[in-house]
Amino acid sequence: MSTRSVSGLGRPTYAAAAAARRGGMHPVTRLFSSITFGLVILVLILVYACVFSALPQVRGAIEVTEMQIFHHWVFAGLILLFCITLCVATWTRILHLRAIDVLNPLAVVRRFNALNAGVVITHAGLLMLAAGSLWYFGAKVEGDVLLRTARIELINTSGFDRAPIDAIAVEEGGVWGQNMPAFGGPVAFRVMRVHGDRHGPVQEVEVRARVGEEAAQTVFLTPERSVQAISERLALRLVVFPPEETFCDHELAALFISKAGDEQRVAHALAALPLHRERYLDEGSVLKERGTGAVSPSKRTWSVPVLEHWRLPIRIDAPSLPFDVQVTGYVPYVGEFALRAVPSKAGGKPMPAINYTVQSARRTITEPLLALDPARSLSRQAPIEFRWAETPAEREALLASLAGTHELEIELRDPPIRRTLAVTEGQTIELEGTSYRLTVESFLPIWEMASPELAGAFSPVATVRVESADKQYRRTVIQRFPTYSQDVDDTGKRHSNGPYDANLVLRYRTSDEGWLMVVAGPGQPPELGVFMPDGRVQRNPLAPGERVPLPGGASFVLHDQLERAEVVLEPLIEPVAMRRPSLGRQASAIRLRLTGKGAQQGWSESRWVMFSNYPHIDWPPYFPLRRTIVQLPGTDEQWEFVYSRQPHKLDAQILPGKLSVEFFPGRNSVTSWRSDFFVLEPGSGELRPGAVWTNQTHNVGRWTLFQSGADSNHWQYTILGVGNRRGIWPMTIGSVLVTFGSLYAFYVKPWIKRRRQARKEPAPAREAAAPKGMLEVVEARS
Amino acid sequence: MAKQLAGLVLVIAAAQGFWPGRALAGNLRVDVADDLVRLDRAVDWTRGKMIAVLDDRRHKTLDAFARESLSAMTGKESFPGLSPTASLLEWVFNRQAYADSPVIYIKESGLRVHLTAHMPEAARQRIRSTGYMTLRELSDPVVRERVRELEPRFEMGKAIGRFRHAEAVASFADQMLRFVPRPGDATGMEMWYSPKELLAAAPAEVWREAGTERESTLRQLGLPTSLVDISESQAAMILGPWFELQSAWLARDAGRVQSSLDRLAERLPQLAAEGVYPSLQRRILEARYYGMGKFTWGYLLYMLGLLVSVCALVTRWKTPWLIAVLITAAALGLHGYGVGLRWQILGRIPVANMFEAITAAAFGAVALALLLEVLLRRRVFALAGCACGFFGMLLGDQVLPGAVTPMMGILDDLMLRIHTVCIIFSYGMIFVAAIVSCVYLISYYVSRHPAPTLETALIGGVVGTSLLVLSLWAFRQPTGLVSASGIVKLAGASYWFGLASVVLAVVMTVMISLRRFGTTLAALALLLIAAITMWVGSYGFVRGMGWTIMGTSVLVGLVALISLVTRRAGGAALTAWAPEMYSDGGRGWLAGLDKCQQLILGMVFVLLFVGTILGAVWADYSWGRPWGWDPKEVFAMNTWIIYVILIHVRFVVKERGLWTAWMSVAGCLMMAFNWCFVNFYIVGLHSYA
Repeated sequence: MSTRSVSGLGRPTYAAAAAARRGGMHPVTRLFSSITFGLVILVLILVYACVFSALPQVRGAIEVTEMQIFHHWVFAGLILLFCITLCVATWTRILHLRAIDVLNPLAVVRRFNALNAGVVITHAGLLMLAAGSLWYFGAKVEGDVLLRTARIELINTSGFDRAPIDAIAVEEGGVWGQNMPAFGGPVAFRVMRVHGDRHGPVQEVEVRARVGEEAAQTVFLTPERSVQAISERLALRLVVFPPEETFCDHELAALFISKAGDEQRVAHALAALPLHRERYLDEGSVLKERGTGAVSPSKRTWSVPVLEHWRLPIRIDAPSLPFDVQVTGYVPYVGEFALRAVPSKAGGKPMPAINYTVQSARRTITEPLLALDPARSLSRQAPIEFRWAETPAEREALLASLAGTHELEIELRDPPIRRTLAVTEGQTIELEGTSYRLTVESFLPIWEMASPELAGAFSPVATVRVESADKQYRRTVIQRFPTYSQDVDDTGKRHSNGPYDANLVLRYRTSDEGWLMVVAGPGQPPELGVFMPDGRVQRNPLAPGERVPLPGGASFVLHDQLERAEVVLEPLIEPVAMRRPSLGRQASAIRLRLTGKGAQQGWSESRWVMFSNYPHIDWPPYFPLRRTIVQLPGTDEQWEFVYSRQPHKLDAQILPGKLSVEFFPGRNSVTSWRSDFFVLEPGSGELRPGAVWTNQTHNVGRWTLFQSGADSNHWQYTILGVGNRRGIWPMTIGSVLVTFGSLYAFYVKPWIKRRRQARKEPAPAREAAAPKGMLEVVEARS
Repeated sequence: MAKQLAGLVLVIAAAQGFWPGRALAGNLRVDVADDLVRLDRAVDWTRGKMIAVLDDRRHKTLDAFARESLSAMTGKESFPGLSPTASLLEWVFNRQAYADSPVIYIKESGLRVHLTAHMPEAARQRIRSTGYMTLRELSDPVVRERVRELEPRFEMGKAIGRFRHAEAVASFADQMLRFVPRPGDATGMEMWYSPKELLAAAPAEVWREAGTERESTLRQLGLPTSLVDISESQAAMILGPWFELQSAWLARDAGRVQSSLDRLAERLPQLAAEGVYPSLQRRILEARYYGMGKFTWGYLLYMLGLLVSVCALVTRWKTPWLIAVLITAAALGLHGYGVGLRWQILGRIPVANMFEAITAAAFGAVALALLLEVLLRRRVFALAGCACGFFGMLLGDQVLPGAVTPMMGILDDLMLRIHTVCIIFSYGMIFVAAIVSCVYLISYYVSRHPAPTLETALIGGVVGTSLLVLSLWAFRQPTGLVSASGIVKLAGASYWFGLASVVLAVVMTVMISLRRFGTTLAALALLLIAAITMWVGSYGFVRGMGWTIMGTSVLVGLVALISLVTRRAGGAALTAWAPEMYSDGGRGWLAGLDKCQQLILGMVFVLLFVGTILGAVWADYSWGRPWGWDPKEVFAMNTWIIYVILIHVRFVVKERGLWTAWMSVAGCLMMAFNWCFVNFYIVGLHSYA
């Protein structure tokens, strides 16, 4: 635009006149009509979009998703400013501003004409696009629903849990077969007919089955009679999954609280829950990384109000509960849960425990051991034991060297003989002056204890054959629980209620692969006994945090020792290098702080809850429901906590149908998926079929369904994405207007200008100015 | 000016020190026996190389399979001196002879470091410098264990995937060679058999002749013991010539090799059901396409056109212009033939992966540029078109994997194809417009401010060289594995460089700002770019940026120097050989260039918007979500916003052409960032590309 204020004819230029007119505007109007201001807004929008889209670290630091950052009030404010500028500038500069008569700047002459139509249309289109976007994103809800395909399972009826051996889809012609010698030979079954499937939900399935050499048989399975035996130990089970009435939000998490066993769970939305970073309030412990054991301290737990939506703690509003619930911690990616001993809050009898780490070149073991818990006093990962010695004499006995790799202590009551020997397999020991002859038959490093009170415990054992004048029997001598040693006499009778031969007492110890024993006691400092394979013992005093070197380059660290402890699960954080991206919350966990009210006043407990993909579906191993159960102290009342996603109501019930896939040649990769299902309309009760497939959606009420995910085996389940689509039409119309407006402005307007110019020029002048090329035409006439 | 000249020479000299040495990586050194070379030359591969193979979700020629497999294993399409098919057969039949030949290529230096830590010094040095490992080294249990350790690491995913692919080809090429169709398969969907699998259907006499027991041998090899859809006679029909081929190959008997290959080529299509075996026409096209190197060597023709275009642009003579147009047309024809051939092979428009998108985009942009050049005769369009074609084809030739791949089902949609075509075509036009804008900028600064331009070029050269120097100091190879690239930044390197940049910027500001504001601004901008590069960049990125800044600065500096020299030599000489650039102070010349860039930018504005909206339309009916703020979507929007700003900034600035040119370059950089960086480094919905 020319900056001259006076034209060659001595009149004020258009620009000067326009400036004079704008000088009469309100300052705010002048600001918003300024193109420069509009450009500044655009640059700010550009910078905002670049920074928050290109740098996931920035989004992570303020705990937002891509949707949320572009729905933030700052961005919305910029868009609003842009829209206002666009409106005001268009109005003042084109629609409202009349053409300036340079001889009479204050005269009113129409400015808006065909030349400016393109710009006006484009601007109108942008405003419509912005309005439609505001409506669309303001109301946007997205999630997914899991539909599980009906299946026929082959189950082992002799197994205590009737676990399925295998399964196939309920589909006519579906066949399964395998050679199963343990069940009588080849087993096969075929689905002959299905009532339902594509024409309706599954109502009855006719299956022909054959086991071994038996004649083939036909069984009919229905949802009511779902299990039919096909042999003594095999049965077929029809599993039909219930229809889905809700879908789960992609972004919004929720905490579900209910009494254990209660089907109805109350959902409490966790809109302020972080997403990307480890954030947990200080409760005296620090989380560690899986594998390395490196401490992973919490990122900041305070948030900037107004700018950031997350916060900690999050208080759950549930006045009817007998306790207060707060979310006090969040971990985005749990590698695994590990046990840790912590001081017990429930009181009760002493339960000594230690937390330790053993580290070697190949691996690291970090875990708790509880001395008085048979199942948890010996590690399952290495020969490491924690024992509680009430007296110094007991400690000495525990930490005494062995006579050899395998030691057998023989005590005879009558006559009184006591002998401690190093023994080997096959060795025979004759006790002088007696008729006793002992033969060491075998050593077993791991023997699972069967007694209910020792459930989960195990111990090394030695089997000794005992022959005396009047008795012959086999005794299993259990190292860790000698009083539970068992005798089996020659008739095969197992003497469970006491030794068959009370005259003979045998005790066994071994350090065949080495053994570590931590011994502590009341008022006694802990001590580590390193039992060498030859039976020698190295004794090392222990202090919390001090590293004790072990043979072979390993080391032992005692972290702490507790007198009254309980074991809790704590998450180990997956190292960043090992994390799979774009998992959302799938690997996350939250920490709840429960504080008793009323009768439970004074009680407080913290528990971690792992994320479950669907709050109402427990389908291991695909979608297990990870409940955390808390028992209120002093009562039988158990409460269940599930951390999952916020459910939303679908406008109908969706009954699962079938998942089908198309493959690329070779059938190794899938090229497209199709999900068939049924929609049960709530009002009419009408059942109608529906389908979604690649590049094809289906509408159910106000929701749009699309193919989102599927079983890797291509039949067991399908996941349908669900979303709403408000504001589509304004956005579409706006886009069309912008397109046509732009085309008009770039190509129609110059043509109109050229025509007008050509009409104004006299004919000879036109001929004399004959240009050479097209661009010269443009230059000559514009 | 002498100082400036000296400075420029110093910069160029300093750069020589950092010229990347002749890359040993990728130099496949295999001792190929002379008799094998003679055998290869004696065999007529015309029929043999067009045997169809089912691999990676599609039916391809044996030639294509050989090129792709060997490329995955060795980084090259064939062994030195051999054709790809001969190289493949040699590997399949005689692999053990190369057990100690370094043929297995490991691209990532970090992976090389980790896999060779335990090896003897000589082997470690060889592998780390060349990237080539032997089959025996590959089978090392320690190497295998280390690969297993790395597999769970997400950042190592691509590197391990490439390694696994190379390993699979090296170890199981014979089992991957699935060229036996299933007679009963009318759909063409079932997996084809390899000759090894076909043994399960081999007649009894084959086993008798081999002197080995069938069941136990098949179980030992982990193969099925029976095949239901192929008879013994059918299997014998193929196994016979296959074994013949094997023995003839090892005996280097060209005649028998030829006859057995021809028999296989004749019999295999007869096995397949009607319509399953790929047509001969399609196989011929594919063989031709791969045989001509996918035509990406056409960048040489574009380079010639570019040089002639520059001459035509500067001198305004007609002859160079005609030659430039003809060369561009020839290059475009070759380019178009390659794109068209690929279209025919695929049966769809080739825009589904990065290689296809870039070559197709370049084709469209060059076609438009040539059309504009013929119509408007501005010279600059030919230059821009050749530059676009050169870079596009160069990328396709040197960087991008160009293997023909089938398209995923979700991408097989008309609206998506229209969207993709609009977007990539607009990207091509953005590049063309940016070249025109670069010509504008060079013309502007060189014709109006040659001395400051030369100074700025010197500063740029210093900054670029500094980045190269710092890349040597600030990055180290760690002792343990940290990343696939194997090179990490020293802790604090960014901080110290940032601090040094600030100090240098302050010093330069004081020294220069007394003279020229523009140069100061340019210097500060360059320092800011360098500081950000050091802050966020990896080793490769820092070096690439250093070379780019330095190379651009040298180019601009040389042009400015020439301008200064010719000005001092005499204005008449200048006007004589570059009249439009120097008459009337270059205003007419610049005005013409401005109109050229506006012409293209108008098309870019509309097409980019339309393409983006069509993408939203497709996304809406594909998964009910037209816009999800995916990084790819956001940066497409950002690119368009830059052009919105460009249009409106012309209303408020004095130097419209200058601002338009700078914004056009900015838009091109944003487009390049969106197309390259967002595709490969930012995980999102568009990561498939």
